[in-house]
Amino acid sequence: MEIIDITAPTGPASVMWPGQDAPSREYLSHTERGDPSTVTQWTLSAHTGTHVDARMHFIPGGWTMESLKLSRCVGPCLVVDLTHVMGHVGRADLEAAEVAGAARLLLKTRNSEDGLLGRGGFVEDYVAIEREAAEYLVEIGVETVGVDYLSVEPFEDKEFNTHHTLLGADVIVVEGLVLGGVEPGEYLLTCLPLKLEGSDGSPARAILIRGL
Amino acid sequence: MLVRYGWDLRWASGPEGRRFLRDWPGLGGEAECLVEKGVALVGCDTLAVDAVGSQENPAHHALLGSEVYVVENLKNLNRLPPFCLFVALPLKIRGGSGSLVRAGALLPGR
Repeated sequence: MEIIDITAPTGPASVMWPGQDAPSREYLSHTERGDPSTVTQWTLSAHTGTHVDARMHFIPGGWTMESLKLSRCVGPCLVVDLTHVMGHVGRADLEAAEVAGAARLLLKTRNSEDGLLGRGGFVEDYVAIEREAAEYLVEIGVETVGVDYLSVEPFEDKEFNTHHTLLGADVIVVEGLVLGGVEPGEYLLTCLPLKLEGSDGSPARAILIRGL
Repeated sequence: MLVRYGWDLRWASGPEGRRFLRDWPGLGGEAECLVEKGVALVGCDTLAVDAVGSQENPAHHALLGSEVYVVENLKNLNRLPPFCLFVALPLKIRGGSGSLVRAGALLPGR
């Protein structure tokens, strides 16, 4: 069995969506200070690094993280290669990639090839999912979609059509996946966010398993 | 190896949760024998793998000292059969002394 960790390391140097602070750490105790144990206390955005959006992130009254159906985040998954797409991912790109039939779909784009999540600063020209492509994902019954930068939304879409389309149709949105070294193909996805009550999202640990 | 004390039944938020924090049991130096048996991970349904009030934290030292992973505050262990596929994925916190974790058990045909 092979486990591939597709989670971005989270810490004070993590790249963040504009306006959100990077995680900060405080040592409540430390063995180097003579304390019996080391305990860190962290402050971090629910949308730090690799994370899952709750429906409530954009849909008023939508479910929050404790109500996430784990079966959506654990199961067979298709990683599809879209690294050739230069603009945002469009409907035609998804059709050409023959993604229909996949319940869980991870989109590997040039974000991964360029290592955007590993860079210090936020970039605006990342690859995201166009509204029509999001509508197509809903149409073909995709239950969970993952992307390799901080948002499924094109940066320039200030109406957040992609989020509204996906979360509105109760598609699970996973953002900030590290897919650089991942070959396209089928895997067992296990993406487990925290069970944060009332939260609009949560950082998650996500892995791909092969040969189970 | 997951240890069920039934303490998760006492878990509650607010004042009711005091029962969870009172007199919880734990492993002591006996944890050493788990290391000898090659256990990779020890989980429990209490706040800590050492019993309440432990000053020396012998279980923490025995387990962490030998790279045995420790998962604390698990819930619903009463719903698990003797053997299952356990999945616990903590966050990938750089420099973290620990992490919150989402833990689950996969059971056949459920």
